[in-house]
Amino acid sequence: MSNEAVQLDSNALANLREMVGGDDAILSEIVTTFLSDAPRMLAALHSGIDAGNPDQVRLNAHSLKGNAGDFGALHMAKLCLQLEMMGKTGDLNGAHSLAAQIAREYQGVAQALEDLLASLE
Amino acid sequence: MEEVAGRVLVVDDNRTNRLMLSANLSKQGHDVATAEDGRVALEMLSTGEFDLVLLDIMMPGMNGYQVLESMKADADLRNIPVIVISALDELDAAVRCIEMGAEDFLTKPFNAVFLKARLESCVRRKRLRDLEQAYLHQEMMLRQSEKLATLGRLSAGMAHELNNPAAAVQSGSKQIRQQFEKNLRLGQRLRLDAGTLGGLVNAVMTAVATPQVLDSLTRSDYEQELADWLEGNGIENAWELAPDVTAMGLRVADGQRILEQVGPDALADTLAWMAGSYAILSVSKEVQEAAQRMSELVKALKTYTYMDRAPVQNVNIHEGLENTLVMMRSRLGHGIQINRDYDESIPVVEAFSSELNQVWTNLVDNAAAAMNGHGQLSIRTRLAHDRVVVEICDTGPGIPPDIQPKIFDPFFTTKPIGEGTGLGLNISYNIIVQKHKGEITVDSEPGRTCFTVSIPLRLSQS
Repeated sequence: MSNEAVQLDSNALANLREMVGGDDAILSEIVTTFLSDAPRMLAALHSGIDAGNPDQVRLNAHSLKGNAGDFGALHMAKLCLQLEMMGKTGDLNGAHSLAAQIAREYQGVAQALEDLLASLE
Repeated sequence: MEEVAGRVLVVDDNRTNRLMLSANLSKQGHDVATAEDGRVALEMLSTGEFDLVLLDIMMPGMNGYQVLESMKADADLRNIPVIVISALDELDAAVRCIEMGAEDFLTKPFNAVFLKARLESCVRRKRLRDLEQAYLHQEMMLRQSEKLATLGRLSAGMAHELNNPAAAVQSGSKQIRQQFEKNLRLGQRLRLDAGTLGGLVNAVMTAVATPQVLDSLTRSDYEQELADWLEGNGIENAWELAPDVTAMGLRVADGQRILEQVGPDALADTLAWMAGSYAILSVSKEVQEAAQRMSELVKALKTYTYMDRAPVQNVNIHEGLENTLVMMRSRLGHGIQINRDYDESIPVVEAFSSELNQVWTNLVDNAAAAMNGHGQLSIRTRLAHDRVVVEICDTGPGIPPDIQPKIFDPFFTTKPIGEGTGLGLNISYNIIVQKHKGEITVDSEPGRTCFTVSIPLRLSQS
């Protein structure tokens, strides 16, 4: 599994900074929170597919999509939207591979967010 | 624009979102609480005061739609505005929420500028609505208290009016019993023959039927004469007996006739028996009149309030005015002369009967207050085309020209705090103008204030 470097969208990040009023401490708390919650949501994608529970897939993909969008992880957000739609239609064919793709993309996103955190120190 | 801060509840299952939103909202000065699902949100809403809810639609368990639905079904939560959070790709969901009663929506990713603007306008609208509600509530309470105050004034008046005849009935019936016992004993002692008794009874009956009206000087002369004559005939309690016998209209010549019929030994008892019988009959008459007065008052009260009757009646305007005057008699007092100028050709009027009486009561009450116990209350009615016009005028000091335009405004009062709600004339105005499509105007100068009410003979269909 190779980790491609992910670029976070600078407009989205600027927007996020504005949301927290330029407060770096809060920004790092938000990033840390996402990094700690994301693995659980990613795991829920797979377990939802395994259990044949499209609602669970849809909700978690939706949630990840939103966070990814806020952090400027646009590709990850796009992949999550695709999976969310699969959950919505209830057709989980090929969902496992899409979920795996999301998890892989997340590795790059997480790295970029770690870098962001380091820059906020 | 001034800063608007409120208490905001953020409902989102995603911890990162909750953090982001509460960080932003706190920085804007709002007081923020968060809930991670719908059930917790509803619990928090039911126990706390919130100005706004930011609601995520897609949540596990109870979703945003269900939260919104529960809020709209709950009278306590219905008025708290909700802004739903939706992704750009699910605007149809946001639309559905707006249809369900959400105030606005926000799209993700969040944008600080939009968030601030929408939130503030939302909180501002909520504040205005709260203010409006509080105002409406307060006004409703005041209107209710004005009704109670009118009722209070009327009951005080009624209590006063009923009290006098009730006291008369009570003391009168006691007097009758005592006198009747005395007379029974006297009658036993007298043992009069039928012929003599018949003559005495006739004399008493005539006296009752034609009561004597004597000025006090003449009466005391008559009493003196009679007392002297009685004393001359050896009667010990002449001074006690003389006034009672004189009250019957009997004089010395009548006494002489009775003396010849019954003899000197029975004279005192006979006269006492006659005076007692006379007293019994005249007091009975007073009791009867007092009881009749009470029953008239109750009847006036019943028609005044139109108890147990439909709100819209064919109303006899004069009857309503008269009943109001009966109810207000003690409020007006003896120093106010009432002049009536009624147009008897006025037909019955289709009207909200009890409300109309409330108007007469308010106007008469204001007139009484203005005249402060002395003056003339003039009530004039006339027919003008298809309208009935009622003028209620007083001779009080008048309403200063600068406040005349305000007198029908709600809460306008010239009475000291605690005495008037300032709603009497406003309520009258609403009853006449809104309910009856009529008019109420005032014309006032020092010494003469006239309120003119005109209402159509028939209520309009609308």
